[in-house]
Amino acid sequence: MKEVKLQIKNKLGIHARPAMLFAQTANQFECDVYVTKDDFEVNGKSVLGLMMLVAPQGSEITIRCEGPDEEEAIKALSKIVEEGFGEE
Amino acid sequence: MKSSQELKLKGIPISPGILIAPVKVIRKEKVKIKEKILRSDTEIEAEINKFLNGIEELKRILLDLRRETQEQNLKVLLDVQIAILSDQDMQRDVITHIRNKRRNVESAIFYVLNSKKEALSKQESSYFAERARELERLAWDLISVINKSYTIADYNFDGIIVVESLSIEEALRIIKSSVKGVITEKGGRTEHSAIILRNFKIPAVFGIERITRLVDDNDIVILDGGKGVVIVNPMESTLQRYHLIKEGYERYESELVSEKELPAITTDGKEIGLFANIDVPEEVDELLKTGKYGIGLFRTEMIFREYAENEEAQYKIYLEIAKKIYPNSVTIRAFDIGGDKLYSDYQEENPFLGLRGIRVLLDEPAIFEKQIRAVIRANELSNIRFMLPMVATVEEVVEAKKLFIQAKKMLEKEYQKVNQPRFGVMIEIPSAVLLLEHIADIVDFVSIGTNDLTQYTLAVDRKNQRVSKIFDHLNPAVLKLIKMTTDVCREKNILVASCGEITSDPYGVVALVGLGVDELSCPPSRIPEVKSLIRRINLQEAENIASEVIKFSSSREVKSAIKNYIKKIMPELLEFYD
Repeated sequence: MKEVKLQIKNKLGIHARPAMLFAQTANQFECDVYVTKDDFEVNGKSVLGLMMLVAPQGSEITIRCEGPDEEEAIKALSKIVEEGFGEE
Repeated sequence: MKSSQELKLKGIPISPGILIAPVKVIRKEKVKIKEKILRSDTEIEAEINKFLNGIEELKRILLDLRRETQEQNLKVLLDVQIAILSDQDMQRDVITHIRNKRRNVESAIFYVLNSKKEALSKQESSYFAERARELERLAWDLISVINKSYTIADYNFDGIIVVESLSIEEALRIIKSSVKGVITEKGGRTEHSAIILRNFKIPAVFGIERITRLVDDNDIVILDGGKGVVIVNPMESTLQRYHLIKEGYERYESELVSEKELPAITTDGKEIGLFANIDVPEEVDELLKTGKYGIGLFRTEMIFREYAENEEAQYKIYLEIAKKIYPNSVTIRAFDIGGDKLYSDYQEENPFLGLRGIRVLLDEPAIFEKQIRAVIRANELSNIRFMLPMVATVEEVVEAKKLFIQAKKMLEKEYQKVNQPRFGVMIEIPSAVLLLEHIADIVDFVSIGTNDLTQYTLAVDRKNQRVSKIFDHLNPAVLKLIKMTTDVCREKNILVASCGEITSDPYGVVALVGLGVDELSCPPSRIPEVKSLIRRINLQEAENIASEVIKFSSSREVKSAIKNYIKKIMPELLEFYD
């Protein structure tokens, strides 16, 4: 299991487009992906789930990957969040 | 209840043109969900199949629409909807509901998506409220695809569509269908769907209350998009009268088209620059069909919503537009957010006097800088102008110009050669007029935004129906401020343009030309008519009228003096517009 804690950097937070981007990337991996914010956990492969997180700028989320390619998955997903979902 | 009496209804004129045509009423929200309990496993499997087929079908519909869409924002919007439909969790939840609760597919979809929608609606932010509405729409679309009652077929109707409200997606479908016109219960002139209809010349009237209940499918209705009038159950005599008006209007339109290639030049030889106001990049292609025109106001608020923080995406959009419009120029207005275009959820007691326009940009220099950089980089063909909204003080202009020059210097280091766009300001606050002699020293041009200038001069919120009657851009106080502006610009030798709604008002056009405005920017659909009018104006006469009307005490007097002049030079104009 791999876990990482990250801060949301882009101004609009995880709105629809970032949710889509994250889920699309997560779906490229075999491992399970979970995203947690304030004890609320969603499936990182679900756009709707991620939208339900309601994570604005500055909020902290935890990404957890479990499975054979967890190493690569967590790297790729952290990068997306770190880069503010391409909004910077 | 439906009545058989002739009813003349007044709404908001959205897009000009006269139609006498059958209607089709689209009652999207009226699809009733009947909950059914499934008795057998065969039934359950059949419902699951219906669901999966429905998902594929709706995805295909959205993908088709996406392929036909040029505009990046709209593509993203459709991508998100497609991603939601492909969401494995959502699909699993619906299938589980069908299987375990033994419910039919419609009620399962409704149950699953509605619970998500409600979770989103609970959020304080208006952004999530919007997403919640979109999710609900998606659920209804999916249900109607499964019921075979999806509205895409309706848009191939050869007549007028009557609907409660019109979304951007629906407007995009309509412009690609055989639909001739649109009537809605809700919506206003500046809504994106309205702008799309206007630019694709689909006659439309919005804001007719209860219209979906006043007409039945195939009723013949008269729609006058120029006047914002809809006539239900027209009498024989009314129909005859409108057939004549329609013929006259069509003749008039074709005359306008015959002047397409000619310049907007007064009878005594002054050429007035004629430009278009553009809200979404998609309108650019349509504009170029109207003729080779530049853009006098490119609003970037739509771009702000998706790409506020993305310099690269902005650069690409601005560059593409500048290339398409070349050799004419494109005036890009910096993000005008706040006021009625409030983005954050901070509620101001007086938003129109609050944090908006340039004030927001100077408050958020990181966002502003990204836009400046994108604009400067996109100026590869040296045909871009950049202007600041809502300038009230000289200091604001100085500070913004400093950021602008800094960004340019940085870019020179990064890219070697960049072309500095012409730098200007909107004149829409009286203080900017009064301080213009100072502002003029640091800008290359100004553009008078008459909507806000009128609002701030007369202290009237035109969306407030209790006072909107006072709002009138022909009020002599407003015209005097325009005169002061053109006087200073003449003296300082800088270009003066105008881009408010006044530029699509024939009375306003005469006044602006007479007051010495060099360039007018109006919605693309109004360009042919404004050009025709300019080609009939004598500059000397217009100047005389202008110097006369600014001495009047009321807009009523101004209007009547200009009306007499239009009657003389272009009487047919007064027939089709209020």
